[in-house]
Amino acid sequence: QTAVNVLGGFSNQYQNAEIEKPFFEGLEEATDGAVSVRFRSIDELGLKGYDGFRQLQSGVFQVMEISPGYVAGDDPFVMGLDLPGIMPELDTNRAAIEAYRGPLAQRVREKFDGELLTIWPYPASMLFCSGELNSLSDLKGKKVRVFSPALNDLVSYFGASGVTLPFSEVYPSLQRGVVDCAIAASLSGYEAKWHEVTDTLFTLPLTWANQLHVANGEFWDGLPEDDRAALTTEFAKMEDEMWSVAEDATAQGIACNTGEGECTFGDAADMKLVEYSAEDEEKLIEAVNSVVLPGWAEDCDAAFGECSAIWNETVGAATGYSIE
Amino acid sequence: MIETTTLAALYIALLVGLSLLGFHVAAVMAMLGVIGALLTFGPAVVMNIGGLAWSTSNDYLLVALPMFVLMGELLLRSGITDRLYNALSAWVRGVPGGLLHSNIFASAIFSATSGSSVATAATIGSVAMPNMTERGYNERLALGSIAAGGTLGILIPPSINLMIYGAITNTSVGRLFAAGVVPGVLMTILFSAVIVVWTRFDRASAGRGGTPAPMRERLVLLVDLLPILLIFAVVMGSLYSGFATATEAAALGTVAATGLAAARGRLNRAMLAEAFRSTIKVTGMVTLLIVAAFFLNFVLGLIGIPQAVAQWVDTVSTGPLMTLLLLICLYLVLGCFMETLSMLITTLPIVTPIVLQQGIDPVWFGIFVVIMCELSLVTPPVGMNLFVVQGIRKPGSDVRDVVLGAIPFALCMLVLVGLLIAAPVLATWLPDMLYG
Amino acid sequence: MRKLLDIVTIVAGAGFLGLAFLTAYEVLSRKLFNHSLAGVDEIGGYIYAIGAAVGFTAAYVANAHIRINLIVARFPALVRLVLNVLSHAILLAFALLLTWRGGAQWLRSYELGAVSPTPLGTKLVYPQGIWLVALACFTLVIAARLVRALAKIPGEGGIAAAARDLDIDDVSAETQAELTSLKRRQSPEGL
Ligand code: NA
Ligand code: NA
Repeated sequence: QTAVNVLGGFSNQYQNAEIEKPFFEGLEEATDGAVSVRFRSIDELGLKGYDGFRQLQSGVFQVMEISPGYVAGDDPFVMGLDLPGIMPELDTNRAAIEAYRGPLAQRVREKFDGELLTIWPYPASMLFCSGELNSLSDLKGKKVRVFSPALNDLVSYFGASGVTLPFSEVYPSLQRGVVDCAIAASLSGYEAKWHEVTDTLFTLPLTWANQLHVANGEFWDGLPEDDRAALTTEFAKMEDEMWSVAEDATAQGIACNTGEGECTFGDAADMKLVEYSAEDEEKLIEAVNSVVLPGWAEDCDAAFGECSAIWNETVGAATGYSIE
Repeated sequence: MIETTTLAALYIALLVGLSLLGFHVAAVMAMLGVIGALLTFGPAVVMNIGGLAWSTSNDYLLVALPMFVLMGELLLRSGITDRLYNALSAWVRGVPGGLLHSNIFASAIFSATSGSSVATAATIGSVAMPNMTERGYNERLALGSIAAGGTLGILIPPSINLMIYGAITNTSVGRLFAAGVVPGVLMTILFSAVIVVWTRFDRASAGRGGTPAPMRERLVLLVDLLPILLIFAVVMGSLYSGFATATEAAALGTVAATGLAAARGRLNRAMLAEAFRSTIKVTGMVTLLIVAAFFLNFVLGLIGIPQAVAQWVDTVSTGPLMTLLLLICLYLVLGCFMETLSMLITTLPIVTPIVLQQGIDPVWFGIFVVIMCELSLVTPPVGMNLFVVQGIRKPGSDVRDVVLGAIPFALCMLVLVGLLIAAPVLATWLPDMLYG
Repeated sequence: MRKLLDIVTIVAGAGFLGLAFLTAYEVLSRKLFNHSLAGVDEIGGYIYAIGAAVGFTAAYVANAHIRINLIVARFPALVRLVLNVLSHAILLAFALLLTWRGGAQWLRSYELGAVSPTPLGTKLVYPQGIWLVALACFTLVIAARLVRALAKIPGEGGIAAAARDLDIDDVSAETQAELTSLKRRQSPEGL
């Protein structure tokens, strides 16, 4: 039997609590005892996630959930599957990810000796704002909490100023007006009770905050052939489950925050629901082309010469964008 | 599971035991972490300490810590604090037990600008003690009131302990600070009540109050309260009016303190150098503890000790009340032997999951823990405020005077804990009102 | 050596004052002109990490790292010497571990060309490099003090002297410093 230490995502996130944790805790049974799992959440251990790849390589954890946005400083290439604004639709996101999976897996293997096991999305991340926000151009002059350079570029393009804050400070900051808007997965925002301190939910998906599960390469290669095959099957099942709930969880998040539709997670709040318009989509495309893609491509090409060429062939082809 | 709880007991025993042997507390924590890691997971875990140390020590929330320390230093070294005490004593000098009350009130007001209890006790104590002996106050009562008054430093915001609690448990520092206000005021009133009762039964203890200052002089002296009130208004006002986060409020307070020092003509190189040295020293001391604690926290969490202890408490405890009583006993015992910050930092990783699991409000619990920390500051044999106050006296004085003088005030703290358990709203009302 | 440490300490402290002004400027400009300087919080993080690392040494030299002087003070010199040497040796090991692993962290940042995942995109080798130097100094200062104390053992009364060198400061030293500072403040000309 192989002992496996797993570092999961934040324990208060719906998919981590309902899918990831039970999955790993049931893995021993699912593999007929081939592995025994010790599962820990990132917040339980007081970790922040910025050195995810480094930690994976050090060998403490055999399998880790990694957020591309957090580790992009160590390799901007991972961020290629989660650039904000490029894929409002979940289906497009899936197509883009399928295209990027091969090159990303290769890159993660070469650079961090990691075996890429799954890629899956959180519910769509959207804007929670105090006051009115009827279109992206209303962002002008607002202070928006951002958590990545690309997101900062994006909101700055619309005349907003990006503010970085730790998650625990977002609620009080929204309430006190330190920031006017914050971006989070629809359901996470509901569970953090942001609906108590904001009025408007702007449903344009800015990112899907795609997550990875990565195994330590040495560990993975050392597994017996059968076990590796069994684990591959199990991880694929988990990944499918993550994808299948993403749409539903997004809708639940909207329903719970706004009361439009049935909320099964608790009492629905009454934020104003603002659907995005075709005009917003156009503006978003403009913003992506003028700031998000050039900004990221510059960093990424500096670290990895073929970066934007690979991206154009994969994510670019799937989403209709191209880096010049 | 039994194995893991035994390990937890062993961990606490080693921590207390090795600390008592005079080892650096931070190094003891790190060493226990390294040994724990080597015994269970091998060297890979230890290799992680570099990344862990870096990510812990550039934590955005903790940046508020050095800035609050610096703010207090600037106020102290520009003489603003001394004048506050003198102004207060002019007002209460005529009342029975007069100056004793000004010890408490000056501590409470100074606490609103200082994040540390030791600093509060040292500051108020060094200004107050000469006056006390001169006027024939009961020495024990005087010493006790200074030692206890100083503990308010970490209950009344800003508070280093609440900030660290917020960082470790991921609780909003703004809410925690708000939650400390009402219990802080209550504690001040309780302390004053102790003085009233004591001096009523032992009239000689109240000293020669001295003639009250003329009203005109008293009114003039009120001006000396303004700088402290201004700092409080800047820090708390910016925090709650939507101006700033905790870190930013600390920065605004520091800037205001610099301005006040300059206005008093005390802003010069020697004074700044002294404030900087002190700030860096305190910051280094606290941060080394925090880095060691985060590493230990990581190892313990990996082994599963907090989870096992939480499970154990769950089986022996019949509910939140029972859990809190157990925790009061634990903190009373640890508080006798451990330094306050190390106690806070080493227990939170184990205690917090238990408390959250029982549905106890994390903001309320932050206040509970900080009052237990205050208590540990005045319980022998290891009580920092006792030491500080003792240090101010003539060499060769008996430390038992301080200990005995502090006992009635320590009982007050337990009374306040009881009140908080009976009426949690005392802590939660203000943050709920401010934050909804 | 002490002079240098003192200067570095004061510079690090001045860093916090500078940070306070920068942050205050950020808050006011955000509130009044709706303009946000991105990254002040990140710079604050670096100033804190570096200031704290300098503080490790400053606190060590001032005997300010927390040790409990409850029973050790009552022991005879030889026992105190053994405990004191152990105590400083364990701290040395901790400092060494931090420096070694901090160095590995820096090296990896260098290999990866790592930047902070924030709007500033700071090259991590710079702040981590300064931090690492401060950690290395902390290690060296502990080692030097330990060696100097041990070297005293062979002489006459050497055990007592060595034990005293590594002893825990009781709180009175700090209180004395406060009192001196108070006297100076209350003298007519102030500081
Ligand atoms: Na305070
Ligand atoms: Na104590």
